[in-house]
Amino acid sequence: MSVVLSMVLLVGVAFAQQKSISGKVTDESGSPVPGVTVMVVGTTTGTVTDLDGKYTLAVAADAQTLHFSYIGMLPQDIAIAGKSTVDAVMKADVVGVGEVVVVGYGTRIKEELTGAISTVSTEQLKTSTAPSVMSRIQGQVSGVTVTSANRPGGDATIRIRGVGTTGESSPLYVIDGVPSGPGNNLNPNDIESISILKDASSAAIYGTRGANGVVIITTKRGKLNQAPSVNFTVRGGIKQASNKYDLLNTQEYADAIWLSYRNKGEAPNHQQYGTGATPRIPDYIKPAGAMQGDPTVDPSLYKYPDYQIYKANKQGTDWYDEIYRNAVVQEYDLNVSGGGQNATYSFSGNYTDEQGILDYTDFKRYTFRVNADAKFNKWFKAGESLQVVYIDEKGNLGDNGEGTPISHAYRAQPIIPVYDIMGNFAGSSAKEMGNAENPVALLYRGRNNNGKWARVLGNIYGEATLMEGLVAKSLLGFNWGQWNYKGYTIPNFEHSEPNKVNGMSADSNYRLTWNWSNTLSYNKTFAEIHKISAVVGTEAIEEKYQWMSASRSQYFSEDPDYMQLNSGEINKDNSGNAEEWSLFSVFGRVNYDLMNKYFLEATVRRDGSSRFSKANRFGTFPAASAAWAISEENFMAGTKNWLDFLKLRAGWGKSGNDQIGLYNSYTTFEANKYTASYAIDGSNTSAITGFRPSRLGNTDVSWEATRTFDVGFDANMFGRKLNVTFDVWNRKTSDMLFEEPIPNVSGVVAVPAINVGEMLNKGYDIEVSYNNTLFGGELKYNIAATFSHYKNEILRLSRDENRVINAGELRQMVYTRFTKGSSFPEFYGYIVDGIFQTQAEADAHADFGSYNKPGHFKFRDIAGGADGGPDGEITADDRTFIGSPHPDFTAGLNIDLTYKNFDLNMFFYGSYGNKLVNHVSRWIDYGMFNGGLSKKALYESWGSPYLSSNADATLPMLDFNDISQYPSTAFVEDASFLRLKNLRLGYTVPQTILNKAQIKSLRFYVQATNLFTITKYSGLDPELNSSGSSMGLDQGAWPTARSYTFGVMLGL
Amino acid sequence: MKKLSIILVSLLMVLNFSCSEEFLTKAPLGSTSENVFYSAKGIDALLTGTYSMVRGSALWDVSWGASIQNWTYGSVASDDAYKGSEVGDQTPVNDIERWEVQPTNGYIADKWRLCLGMGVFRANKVLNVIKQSEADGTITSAQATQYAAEARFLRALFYFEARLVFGDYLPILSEDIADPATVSNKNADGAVLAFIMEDLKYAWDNLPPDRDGANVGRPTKYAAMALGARAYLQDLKYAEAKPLLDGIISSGKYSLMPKFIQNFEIETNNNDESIFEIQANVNDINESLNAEMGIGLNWPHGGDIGMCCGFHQPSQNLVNAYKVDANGLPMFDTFNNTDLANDQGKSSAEDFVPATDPVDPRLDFTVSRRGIPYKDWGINRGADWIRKPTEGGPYLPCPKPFFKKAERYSLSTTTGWQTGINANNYRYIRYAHILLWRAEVAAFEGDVATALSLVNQIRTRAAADKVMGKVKLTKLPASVYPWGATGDVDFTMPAANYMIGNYTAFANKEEAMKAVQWEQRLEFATEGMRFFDLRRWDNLPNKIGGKSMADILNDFAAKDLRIRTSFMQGATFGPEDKFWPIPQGQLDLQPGVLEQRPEHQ
Repeated sequence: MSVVLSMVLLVGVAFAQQKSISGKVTDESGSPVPGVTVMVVGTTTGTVTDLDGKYTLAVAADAQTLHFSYIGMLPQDIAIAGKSTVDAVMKADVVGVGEVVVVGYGTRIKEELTGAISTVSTEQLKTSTAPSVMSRIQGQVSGVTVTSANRPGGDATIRIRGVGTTGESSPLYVIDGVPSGPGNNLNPNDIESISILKDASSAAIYGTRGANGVVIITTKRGKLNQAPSVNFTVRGGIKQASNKYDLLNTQEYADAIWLSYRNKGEAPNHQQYGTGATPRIPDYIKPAGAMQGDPTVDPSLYKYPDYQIYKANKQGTDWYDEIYRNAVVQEYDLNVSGGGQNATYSFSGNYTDEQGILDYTDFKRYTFRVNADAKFNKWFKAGESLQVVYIDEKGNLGDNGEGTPISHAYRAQPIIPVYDIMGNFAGSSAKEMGNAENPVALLYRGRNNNGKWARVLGNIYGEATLMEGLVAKSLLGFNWGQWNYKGYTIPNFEHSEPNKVNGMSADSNYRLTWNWSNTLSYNKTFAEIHKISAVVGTEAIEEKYQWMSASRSQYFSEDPDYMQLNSGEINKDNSGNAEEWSLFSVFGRVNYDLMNKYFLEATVRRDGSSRFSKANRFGTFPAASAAWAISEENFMAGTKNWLDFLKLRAGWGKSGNDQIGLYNSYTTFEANKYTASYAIDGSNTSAITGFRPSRLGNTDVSWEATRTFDVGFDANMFGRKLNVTFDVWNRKTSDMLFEEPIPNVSGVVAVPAINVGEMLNKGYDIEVSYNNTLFGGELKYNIAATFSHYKNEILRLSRDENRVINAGELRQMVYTRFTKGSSFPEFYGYIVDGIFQTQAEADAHADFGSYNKPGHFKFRDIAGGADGGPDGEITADDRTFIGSPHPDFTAGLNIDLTYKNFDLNMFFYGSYGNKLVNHVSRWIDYGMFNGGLSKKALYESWGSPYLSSNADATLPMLDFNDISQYPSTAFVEDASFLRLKNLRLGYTVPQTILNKAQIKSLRFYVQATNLFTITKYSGLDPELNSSGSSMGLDQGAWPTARSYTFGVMLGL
Repeated sequence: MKKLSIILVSLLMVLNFSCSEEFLTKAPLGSTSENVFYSAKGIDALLTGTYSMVRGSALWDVSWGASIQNWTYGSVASDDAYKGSEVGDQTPVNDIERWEVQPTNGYIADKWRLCLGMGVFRANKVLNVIKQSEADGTITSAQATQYAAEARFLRALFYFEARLVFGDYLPILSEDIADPATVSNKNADGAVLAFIMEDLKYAWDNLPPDRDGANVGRPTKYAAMALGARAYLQDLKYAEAKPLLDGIISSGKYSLMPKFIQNFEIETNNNDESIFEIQANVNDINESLNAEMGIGLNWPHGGDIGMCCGFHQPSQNLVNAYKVDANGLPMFDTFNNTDLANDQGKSSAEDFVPATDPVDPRLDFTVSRRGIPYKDWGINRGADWIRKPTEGGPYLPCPKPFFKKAERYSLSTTTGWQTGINANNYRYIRYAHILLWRAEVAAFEGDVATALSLVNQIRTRAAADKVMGKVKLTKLPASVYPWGATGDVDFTMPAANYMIGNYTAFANKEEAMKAVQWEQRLEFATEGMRFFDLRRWDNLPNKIGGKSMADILNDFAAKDLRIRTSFMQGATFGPEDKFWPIPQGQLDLQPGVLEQRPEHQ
């Protein structure tokens, strides 16, 4: 089609020559602008400026006005007015069009893009204070689902356009040309831009690693002829927990226990609360149930750890109040950049200290960066990037598990005091106190647990301009990381299951990745309207990873300085191993732009990977896309008064995923001291090491391939005030690598992934922004919204059509399942149809052993019969899919207001339709263990004396019945939420004041995060960082913190 | 200059290409392939890996459902013991205890996985490596036979264990089967037993008669015969078991240890009574998982001892079974009418006087009850040492596998959270088994004299030892730990009123069988055999002293409401509960190949 149109255009030019006009187009700095479209208004006559910005155009004698337009610059009309020379000065467009977007192995102008690429600006990154860069992009771009961990320095889980595979579905990250995850170890202030390649047509250039999308992060560099600029930022504030579980106090707890005895038809009998008609709150819980004056509580008997005495906390310990604190956060950042005639520089230093909202937890990060480029002559340029990161984290940072401090705070009973009568920790060793750890003790004893993470990331490159438009570049990147961890075991005598021997374990590992990429790129415009750019290249990547772990116990002193491996006396244990992989690739991409209206792109990459056997080592990944700036067509001239720009895009591409483990093709045996060793010599303290078959290989396995089809448009309207980007896409993974389970009889060994599955993700992404002014331009505002929707479905999982995989097992119960036709994963369990109110109702229901009775759940009988229908019996067959952790959509709303020197930012983020399994409910609502109980358990359970009618009960009878705790719809909750993530008010000191002090800029701001959340979810936080087959299982995670920060930004 | 650059860049790209073959080959590190094992050294290494599975535990590849001690299936499912701990923990065991196991139960999945997926699979691997090594000439045929005898003994053991739980619905997998996943678990009658016996016969024909001093964990000829005898007894094949038992007795290589307790102490691991022992060791690796993780939860919880996690508590029914009459003989029919006094519902601070009724001295080695010294840990404090008496009863977790306080940390783990894990071996088969099984054969045959003599031999040994230390305190001051003030415990006196007498005669074979059955319960209580014994005896003409297995278990459940007021309510044992279902996960993975047991369909 474009060929036909261009023919028409050329014909038009040929027939209209009467007068010649020439001129030169420059930008505001006076540099020539090539490629500017020059049109005679009202005609089809036009041309494009050459490399020197010059044009010559034959026009009709009566031609009045010339229209100059160029992507990224403001279009303008200039009257010819009889002149034969018409020059134009083009101004950059204020709303960021013409923006250079970093793509794989190159850059493009935003308007030229044919694929689905979103970018994140430095300004957008500031709407969050999270130390993790990827946490900060949440809601800022469409098509990307981000869930952040809330522990200090917590990282985020990123999914681009759904979940592409049952295996690893994290995107590929490329930082300054070096493949490397940013984790939490990148200074967000160092970032110049983030490009998110969402569709296969843009990600295919990354071949086997692009299937889950690509995130390209570019750090700041200086510019030629730029005066030194210094930016200094200081920020400080506090963070607080935003939520806690609503648990019973001591009296209520005792009442609940009495209620449970009544419900079970048993006489109350508790070692602390006695046997009476009502519970008696004792003065002491250790010795059990003792009252004041009892000789056994005589403090003179106290002997730690053999004879601790715990006073009862009669009001009840609020364990969350005990472990939460106002955490201090601070950040200092210095960024310097500049450039001379031939060289540029940019360097920075940053110190971030983020205390956790739980006691004794801390995350400190030190980053340094130096980027420099030097131009040696007309044709050769070289440069480097170097980042050094050092992270020092402390404390018990356990998250979303039943053994973490957050979880022990709901597992501990309220009557337990934090400390015993002598100030040592108290705990569950008092009778009938269950087996919770004292969470305060857990945090205190973990205060010296220390992870240290050092990373050096960088590259060095050389770039030669071989001829006009032809540039060769060679880049050597490296990414080296070293992790060291020391964890201490300190005896916890107050615990009912104490560990009485101290110990220390030390782990260390390093990872070294290098990549060497060589590219040849070519850019040329022919006949002024045919713009071609092409890049071909090769890349080699190799990674080595090595780990070591060692531990000893029984240290003479528990001084952390003393507790080094050497000083441990017994139980000397160590382990370690290594792994490596490599990748070699050739790739190429061609872009063809015709008249800045028609854009074509084709990409291919051929990858060879060590992860596959020789026969299946190579794979080829092609992609093609096209765009049409339809608004630039003459037939659209009538819309110019409201439609500034409209581009339609379509793309198709195939990319791969190689995240299947490294040694899939090898069948191996291994020595194993845990599961293959035996003291055949009768030794009591050592075992002979044996071997076991450890892995079954499969040499037939190859890439998993994802094909994406994407159609979309970009539109700018009303003087570029309203901007819309819309994409609808279909992403199908085929040959999905699936670790096809083998039956036990074939060996309990690691199984290879095989290419068997198919996964489909469909969705649409919308980005809309609107900017305008009010009150005569005094109030500027910009509203930007993102909206992302995906639907995930497994089309084929396994060679066996009926294969189901149960996962997400917690406390012997399976919570998630996936199979053909489901999403990955879905929640799985029984359907609860309310609570039996009467015996007759229970008797009439499908048989369930002795379970059915008033106050118990009515589990729905759905299967088991000969016809597949109900069989009158509740069995495991009656479980079914009961909800999905995937959201229907996620959305972000960013509002910026500027009034005089004040600026205000508000950022909302929401997720709709996502469900969570509230596994904490099983502990606190159903009393799985002898631990803390919720208010609901006492006040809203069936049979509670506080209920006016049992019909109002929200929980079954409190009798600790384990069948009531079976995974069911009772545990699946709607976790939709809307949250004000950010509220920031800034004041920029007027330039007139600053000039005297020779200060370039000065800005103060106050910022609050997570001020409110609207949700129906009853757990701590509806936003849960979880992924894979256990996605959506809430076991009690660090809740989102609320923070208040004050900051100063100084520019010199 | 520009041309030079072009050449240089082109060269770099070509270089990248040319090295790719070597560059892209990355073999796994730290592991190896099968061919390196075709030697004596290699076979030893793989055999050790197979032996390691006899513990019935393997880090976290399986959890507690596969324990070789069968504390769940053999003990908790019977009248010997409770799951213990509290109701909310390890709920799959609730279902085992209440005879309500569904095919999705995680514990039975563990047992299948360990026996067939790890044990049998590894044994078959070794057998194939032995064959290949012999063919390659890297080992002699004599070596091959010796190794094969060990591997086949182990394979038989794993099959025996699987059969205890799943019955005959097991795929028969010899080392020659190319694809085990295609082998059905539907077998001709007796085929599984025949497969086991074929292996064991090969083993006893070829294993050495004497224990290998350097490798005491290796089976002997007699270990194979003993396992063979037990396998026959599962099917009441008395005639086949008899020569094996006689062979072991007449070898003269085994004798009863002087004291009953020596079968449960670390210092007498691998003793003269021991025929095959599961070796345990601690503190070589983190969490000491080369000891028996399968019983890692079964230690006293909280209080002064404070370990993990209070599971497997003896039942009141079992305690009552140790009551004796004036002659020191069991009270067969009346033992469970009333409970031997217990401290259920009493706090440690309340008065409690242990029962003065005469009891078999084995009681206080098998059960730890309030007011009786507990090894060297002190006076059992009752409720203070129990996780949740209302849900687990008044007795400490079954103490036979426990260790002494003096051994703590030297012979028990210093790491991990299952802090009771220790170096006590599990005597899988000991001479007392042989004697009582032989007595059972005799009773069945009507040879009451032999039965009498053998039972009395066991009772005589039982009489030789008792727990010493009469506790004078009826209320234990919490301040005194662990033995009270001087004089609070009189160590010259027995802890309780112990009495045990020998039988004078058995009137007939029924009475002899009844006494033998009773004796097996008392001698082997809580060692994971009771349920299986009840099951096989249920097929005897006179069943278990005239009562069926269902009579016994349902009566146990009904009377247990005296202790745990509601837990067993509604639980009924029926014939369909004699074997456990084939794990659903495996049925799903082998559709059309594996079949569910008919009573669980």
